[in-house]
Amino acid sequence: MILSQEREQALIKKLKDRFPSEITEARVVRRSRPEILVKPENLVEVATFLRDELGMDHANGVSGVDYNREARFEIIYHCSSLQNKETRDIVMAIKESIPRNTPKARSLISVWPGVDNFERETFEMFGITFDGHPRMEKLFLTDNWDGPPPLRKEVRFPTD
Amino acid sequence: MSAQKTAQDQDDVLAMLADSINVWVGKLSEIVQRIVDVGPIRSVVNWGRIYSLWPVNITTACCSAEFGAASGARHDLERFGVLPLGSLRQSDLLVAEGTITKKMAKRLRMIYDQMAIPRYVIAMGDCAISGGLFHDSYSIVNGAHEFIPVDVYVPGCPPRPEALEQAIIMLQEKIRHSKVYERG
Repeated sequence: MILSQEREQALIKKLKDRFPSEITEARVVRRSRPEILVKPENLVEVATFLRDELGMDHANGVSGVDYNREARFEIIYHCSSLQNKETRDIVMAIKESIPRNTPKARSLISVWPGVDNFERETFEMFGITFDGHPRMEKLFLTDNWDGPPPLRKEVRFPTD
Repeated sequence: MSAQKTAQDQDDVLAMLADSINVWVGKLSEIVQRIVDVGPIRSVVNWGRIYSLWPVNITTACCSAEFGAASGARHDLERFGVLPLGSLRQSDLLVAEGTITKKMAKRLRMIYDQMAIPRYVIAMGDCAISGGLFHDSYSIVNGAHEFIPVDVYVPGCPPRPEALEQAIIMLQEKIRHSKVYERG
């Protein structure tokens, strides 16, 4: 088993060279798990670069994190490559941080069509609207659901 | 005038006759039920019910793995007469196997309504008892008893196949002491 992080460092170096100011933070969590923090307005460019130049052709998932004490949401896109055999095990995390009172982000559906349902799920669980998504509506919740987005931190349930 | 009257009288007589026949038939069925419930017919009928508890093939969550293990060769639920085979209409037992989401609860109730009487319910696992790990969640029902009457609860997360076997033996004991015409 290779424990070196050369591939991840090379990947991050390529990204940092191309986007020096757009990527505010980049690090390797552990082997095969690099992550970058991108400014919300440049997310689509970075994702397009990742797909076209670095071969990240597959979005594994989209998730949201509610940092309510810091008054922000974080959206995390996980993507990986199916075409490059050397970097097939790498799962790259692209994070963006958006303010909590205006939960709006740009959709990445133009880059990876597979994020369709993931973004819908993030929408119904956190109430984050994705601009450019063709069908921004409920996915998993019951049909008669009229409460707030259930995974937000301020939501309380009867016996809490 | 008189002809009309006689016709009316005839109708009255017929209605009275029908009423009394209905009353007598009702009485008769009551008597039959009483005889069945105190006599040896009850134990024969219950004996038949005890050893043919066919469960419905409905899986709500991960406890179904333990149910599968219990139905397998090592624990072999068929020696108690529990055979996971056949359609909804032929089944007598509904095992709520694990977490019941609000969407699944609707389907589970639908299945329960379609089963023929007598029907029995086992709530398997902590989630089916009280919601368990997901108690008070936005998408989980806090226990199967909220929408169907439950006969036996099996605690455990997940319960071992032996626990399910014990639940089935307890249910059989309950059926042995129950009356034939009780609505389950």
